[in-house]
Amino acid sequence: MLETVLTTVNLMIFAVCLTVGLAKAAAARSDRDTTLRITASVLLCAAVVYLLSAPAAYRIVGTAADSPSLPSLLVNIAILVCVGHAHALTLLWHPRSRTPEALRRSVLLWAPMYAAAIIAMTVLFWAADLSGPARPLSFATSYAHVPAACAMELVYLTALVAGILATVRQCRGPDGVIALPGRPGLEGSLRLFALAVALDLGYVACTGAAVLVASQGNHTWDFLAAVGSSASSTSALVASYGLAKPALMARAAERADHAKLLTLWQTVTPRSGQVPGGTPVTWWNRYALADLLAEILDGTYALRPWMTPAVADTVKDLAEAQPDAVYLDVKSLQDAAVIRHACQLRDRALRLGLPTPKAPSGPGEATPPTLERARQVRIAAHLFHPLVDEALARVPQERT
Amino acid sequence: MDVLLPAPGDGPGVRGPRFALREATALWSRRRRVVRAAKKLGLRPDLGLQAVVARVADLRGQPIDIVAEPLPRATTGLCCFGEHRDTIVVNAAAEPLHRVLITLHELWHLIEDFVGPRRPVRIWRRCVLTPLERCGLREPRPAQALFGEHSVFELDNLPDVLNALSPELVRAVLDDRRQVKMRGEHNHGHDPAEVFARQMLQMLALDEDTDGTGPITSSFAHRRTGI
Repeated sequence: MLETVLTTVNLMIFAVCLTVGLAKAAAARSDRDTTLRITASVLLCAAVVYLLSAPAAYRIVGTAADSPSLPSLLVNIAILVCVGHAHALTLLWHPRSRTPEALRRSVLLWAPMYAAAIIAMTVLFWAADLSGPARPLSFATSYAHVPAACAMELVYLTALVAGILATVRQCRGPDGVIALPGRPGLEGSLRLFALAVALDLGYVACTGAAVLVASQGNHTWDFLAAVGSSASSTSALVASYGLAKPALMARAAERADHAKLLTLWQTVTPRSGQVPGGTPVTWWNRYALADLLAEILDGTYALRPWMTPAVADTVKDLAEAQPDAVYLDVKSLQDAAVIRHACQLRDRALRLGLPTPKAPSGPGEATPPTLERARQVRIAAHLFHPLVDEALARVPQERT
Repeated sequence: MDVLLPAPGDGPGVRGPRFALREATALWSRRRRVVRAAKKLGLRPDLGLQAVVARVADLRGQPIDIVAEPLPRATTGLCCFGEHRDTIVVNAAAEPLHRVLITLHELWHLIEDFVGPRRPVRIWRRCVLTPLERCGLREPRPAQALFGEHSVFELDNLPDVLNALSPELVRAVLDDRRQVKMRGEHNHGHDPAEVFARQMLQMLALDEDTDGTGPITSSFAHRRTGI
């Protein structure tokens, strides 16, 4: 019964880690950033840990490899590799630890430690010759009486503690990754990541205590190993949540922006004119937003011959007369009014077959590329503001 | 209130689910093609526009000049295939992000020859069309441009274009018969050059990552690149 429940729980955690990991791996195909690749790798590695920890999978792998306890060694190595990944991530995140010199020093210091621990664990595992029955839930305590197996656990836990402490130290403190200025939106997620790594300390403490007591033949503290495992499971879930949340939020923001920008696109696209291919009306991935923004940029550019600064001035006058003028985004209101006025003139010209006037010379706005989407979203939000309607009603009739 | 919602029959997205599905599939395959081409040619949009331009210049074996000039309104940008250097001219009236899009569009024209048609098309031409033409069972037909000609010199805009471009470029085009391609005001969303430009815009690192926290954004939100 317990095994069935734990198999289900572990497979669920496996599914969570696998999903987030695959999403990161897919994202890493377009943004070939080392940290993003390592992030995907750490999640996929954690997925392997929870797949092998599921008692049913543990028994299957053990039987297939003809070594019933082999999955325990694999799980321990995978957890150590996960912490190594997390450690590498914190080094690469920090601009000062990322310099080639600092990185070389860190690699020279830490890579031998992880490698030595993994080799020692493997050697001790084979030396222990564990041919007894598989113990998927209590391997550490059940075989603690075998000196080599106990030594393997201690080597593993020691290496883990060293890795975790170094990783948490990189994250916290006045010079830590969390305290870095810029991108404050990600601070919460960084805290969750540090918490997830720190939770593994609980796992180490509980498992270490249980193994040491069990090695003396006393199995009354075996429950601590189970507590440790649940701390480790929580850690995986917290890490997955922390790593997935910003991506999901950014995705939701993109979707919302797409919905807002649709109004602007429908406004700048001529009603009777030919719509040049592409139907960016549905949001399905990031390309849809790039597609829509490109259409809007082209559409707004094509409206330039009909744009008149007089409308912007009218909006400014109207806005200054408002009691809540300080809260108004006058620039966006002006842009929205100019675009809507130009649309009216353009549609009239198309209807009556009038020639296209000469476009005003000189450059347009000089919005930095990174801020362009936000600017267009602001314009879209102000497109049907009452003040814009009022300004359009006030512009000289002969122009409309 | 003048909301220009698409009317049935004349607007986008209202031509039935089968049409939408066909459009989406076509767009998906074109996007896949340009991403594969970019990968094959070693373009790294995640390193920024300059890196992409430098790689294209490497591939072509000659430098690429990118200049912003006031062009006639209907031309957002054009590229000229020179003998010793290629030139991309972007309309100075375009906004910075629009200029990036236009530059990417023109870069596709510069790498088009390296990409070539897709494998099924190549096999079809080699195994079916060419033998048929050899046996006289089919008239050889020039390839039709699906998305307009991308040609720049038309009679009605010739004076404007000539005035806007530098005399050296005009001489290169007229005397040496250099090829020129242009990007218009309205671009078909399925035009390979436009799909390339928009796909690269989504994959392009737009800022310089001055505060050095780009890798954190990459790990957590994977939105370091793109608009």
